[in-house]
This record gives sequence, structure tokens and C-alpha cells, in this order.
Amino acid sequence: MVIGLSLFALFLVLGMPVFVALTASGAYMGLFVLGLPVSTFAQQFYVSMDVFVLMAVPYFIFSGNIMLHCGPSAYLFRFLDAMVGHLPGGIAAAAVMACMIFGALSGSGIATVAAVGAIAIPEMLRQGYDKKGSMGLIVCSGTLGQMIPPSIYMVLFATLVQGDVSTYFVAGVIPGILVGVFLIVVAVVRARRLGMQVKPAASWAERFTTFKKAFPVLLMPPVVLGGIYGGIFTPTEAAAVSIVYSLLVSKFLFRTLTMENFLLSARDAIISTAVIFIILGGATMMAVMVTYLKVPQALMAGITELGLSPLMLLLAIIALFFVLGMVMDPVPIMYITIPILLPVLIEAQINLLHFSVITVAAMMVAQATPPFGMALFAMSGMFREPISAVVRGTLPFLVVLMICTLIIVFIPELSLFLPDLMNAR
Amino acid sequence: MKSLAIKIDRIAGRLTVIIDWVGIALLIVSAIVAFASVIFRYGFGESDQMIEAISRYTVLYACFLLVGPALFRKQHIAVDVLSNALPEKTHRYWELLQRVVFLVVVCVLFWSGIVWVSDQYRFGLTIFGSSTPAWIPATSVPLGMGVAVLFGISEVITSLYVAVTGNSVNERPNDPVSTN
Repeated sequence: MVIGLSLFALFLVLGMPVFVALTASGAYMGLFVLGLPVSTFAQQFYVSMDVFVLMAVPYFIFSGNIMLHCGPSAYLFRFLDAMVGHLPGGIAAAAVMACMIFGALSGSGIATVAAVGAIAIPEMLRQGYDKKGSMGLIVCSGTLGQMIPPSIYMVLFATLVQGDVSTYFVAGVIPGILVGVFLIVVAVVRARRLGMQVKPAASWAERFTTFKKAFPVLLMPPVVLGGIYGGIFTPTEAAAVSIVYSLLVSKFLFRTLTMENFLLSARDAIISTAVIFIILGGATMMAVMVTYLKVPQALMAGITELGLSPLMLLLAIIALFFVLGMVMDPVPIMYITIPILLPVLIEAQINLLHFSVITVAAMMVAQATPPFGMALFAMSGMFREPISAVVRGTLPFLVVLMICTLIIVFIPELSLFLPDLMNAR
Repeated sequence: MKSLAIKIDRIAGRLTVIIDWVGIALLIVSAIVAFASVIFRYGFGESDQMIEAISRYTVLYACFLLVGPALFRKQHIAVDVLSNALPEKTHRYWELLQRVVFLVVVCVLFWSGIVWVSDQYRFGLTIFGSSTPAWIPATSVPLGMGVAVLFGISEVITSLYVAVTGNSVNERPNDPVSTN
């Protein structure tokens, strides 16, 4: 077993694809330690992916890609800017709100950084904001879509713990808004301190015009989530409906849908899905071997021996996520750690809904954490700025994300209030 | 050696384009079927488990088929911090080793898939209580891994060429869906 786990760690550190490291280690333990039949490997790969609710992942990525390629983020930002842009720090607030809405639609932090950043940052620079700070704000705000439903990470987490996706979606609403509000507050305070100029208020006619353009984008989350919580369709069907909605809006309202955009969106979606799902297959295979070898039980025994309280355990897990997040993508972190930690969490009586929100919050921090946060690289590439400049701009907002993560840990009601309300109905 | 490496790389590039199109088609079919299930349920009061299954299996086939092309385009998620810091020559040999390990792993999965599917075929297993044979969706594993083995072999040969000569194989295809 030690050789199997060492093989995994070695392959991972030395840059093998994560699914190769997981599968090689799992196959070694299965064949040479446990003596399982070889057909178990293919079966584990297949069974882990053959889950209907997981199909929401490619569908949400597909609809998000259509929205990204067809440019409705510009309409969204212009509307929010017309509403609050005249207030001190208003444009920064508009950028955060645009990230919250577009991030929820696209489900991808990188796509949000690219879509909103391309429109918001030049506008912020025109109003005298510093480039580093503007980039940092968008990097951290871009991660918000991972918390606000419909969140792809929540779909993945719910599948891993065999929970109800719609309950996990709703758990992220209040924490997501909380993080957004904190980012807005810090951005506004920074703007005031830097003495940013304020532009004249938009006329109501202008606000109405921008609202008309942004309305179809603003309507998408209520359509998708309303359908799920109204019992009209399942999360997977809702994701399929969101594709049709994005296509109709892009084709007939924005008139930006081309065959090339459509095919690019589909291709990127299925490639992203393949890369994510194949890791799921490898992680499931390794998790099964690790479970056969009673690793979670040994872990639990070690934790009991240490005498860690549930809160201390949560903090230790977050610290682990932060460290892993510096060098690894959030998806493999979740896939590798959750199956091993799940028995420990259940034994320690930690609420899985609360833990899911904490996990996603930690992943948000990971995406914006130097030196390897993906959102940092996306921003650096987009604006051709050195990564160090983006990191410097990100730091104040990264602190906000970390503080919010701790608030979410210490106040479970933020995550559990809406699910409890939903279950009480 | 050079012409062989370039030829193999070109064939892998063309296969990638074909699999991309297959993946796109399967995703679109899956999404249409999932959307149609909503329409059927509310429009005609009908709900069929088979529809849900088709939307799953099309995505599964696409995902397994794309494992090989993702290696070709270096799209698999990896922690490449240390390997990128290696000196260029060492890095080339390291990439070769990575490709060899990838090939071994997909060979094991291919073999595993063949055994699993042939067991299902031999025992006549069916899915969701119908007469549909279980080996039909399960074949996605050996099929996808078989394709990945082909890509693995191609990548080992081209990486070997790159490692030994220090030259690159600049025959990668253009974006298959771009009209530019």
C-alpha cells in the first residue's frame, strides 16, 4: 500500500496527468496488494461516470460557453454600470455583480475572468482605477460563480457524496452573496481611499435601454433555478434547458450566434468534461482500493487519537485544501480528498452541506492563490501583465476570500439556513 | 525517423479532428435527448428511462474517446510545476517517460475493459430491466482506451524523436471547428 500511495505522490509531483497518477496507483494496489480481478478497473471507471446528474456538468459548461462566445456579458456589465456606476466605487461594484451573475451562468472562474474582465477592466482604467487592483478584483470575483448556483463544483460534490444536487445548490446562495458583498465593500473602500473620480449618473432612459439588453441574461438563473425548485425539471434537465435558452437568446435577441461559435462551445464543453470525468474515474478507482485497505478507518483512528474537535478537523482540512490548491486544480483536489475524507466527516458528525460550501470556498481561494492559481494565469495572459503584478493586485481581495471562508466555517447557519427552509416546506 | 515521426503526428492530428467531431455530435445528441425528455413529459405525458440512458451513454462514449486526443493536445490536468522547471534536455526525456507511463496505464485499462465487456457479453447481462445488452454502453471503455492506446503509441514515438534529436514535430493541425 505504501508503494501504491508513494507511486501516486511521485507521479503527481513529477507532472504526470492526474488521472494517470491515480489510475497507476489504484491499479498497482488492486493487482499487487489486493489481488482484485483486472475487470474491476474498467468497471470502476464506468460506474463512477454513469450517473445521470453528472450530465449536468457538460450541459452547464456548454451553455456557459455559448454565453461566453456570444458576448452577453457586455450587456450585463453595461446595465449594472448604468445602475450603480455613478456611486463612489460604483464601477467596481458593478464588475463584482457582473462576475456573480455571469459566473453563475458560465460556472467557470476562468471564463468569467475573461468575459467580464475584458469589458470591466478597460472601463475601470478609464475612470482612473489602478490596473493591478482592477485585475485583482476581477480574479477574485470571477471565482464567485463556483459558489452561486447553478455551480458545477456543487454538482460534482453532491455526486461524490450521493446527495441531492438542488439542496447543495441552495446551500451556496447566502455564502456566495456574502462573499460578493464583502468584495464590493472592500472595492468601494479602496476606490474612496484612492480618490477615484465619479462619473455622472446615467439617465433612466439609458438604464431602461441597457436593462432591455441585459434582461435575457438576468432571466436565465431564475429560469434554470425556478425550474429545479419548482419541481418542473431535474438539475440535469435544467442544464439542458439552459443550453436551449442560451441558443435562443444568442440567436434571436443578441444575433451573435454563429455556427463557429456553436461548434467551438460544444467542442470546448465536451473536452473539459472528458478531462474532468476521466479524473473522476481514476479517483474512484483509487478511492475503492484505499477503502479496501481501510485507509479512512486508519485516518479516523489517527484523528481520534489526536483528539481533534469537529471544528479543529474542519480547519485542518481547509489548511490542507489551501496547500493543495496552490499546486493543483480544484477538481482533482475534490476527487482525491472527498472519498477518503467522507467517512471521517460522517464519523465526526460534520454536516456535509456545510462542508460542501466550505470546500467550494476553499477552492475559490485556491483558484486565486499564488503561485499557481489558474485565474491569475488567465488574467496575466489576457492583459499581458507579469503574473507578479496580478498577484500583488489580488492580495487584498484574496484576504477577503480567506476571511469569508473562515466566517462560513464558524457560522454554519449561512450555509444551512436555506436548505433547512427548503426541507421544512 | 523524422519522416516517420512527422507522418505519425499528422495521422494523430487527423484522428483528433475526427474524434472532436464525434465528441461534438455526441454531446449535441445527448443535450437534445435530455431536452426532449422534458418536452415529452410535459407535452405528451410520457417518460422513458431509455431517453435518460441515451443522454448518459452518448456523453460517456465521447468522454472515453477524447482521452487520447486530450493527451495529444496536452489538455490533461497535471501538476507540472516541477517538470516545467527541468532543464530543456531533461524535460524532453521526462516527457517521453510520461508518455510511456500513459501508454502503460491506458493499456491496462484497455485490457481491463476488454475482459469486463466480454464477461458481460458471455453472461448475457442486460440494463434497466430491458433486453438491451449491458455490453453496448460498457464498450465505451475499451473503445476509448483502445483509441488512447493508439495515441499513446504515437506520442511515445514522436516524444522519442523529439528527445533524441531536440527537434519539434510542427505538424499539429489547425483548430478543427475554426473557419478562420
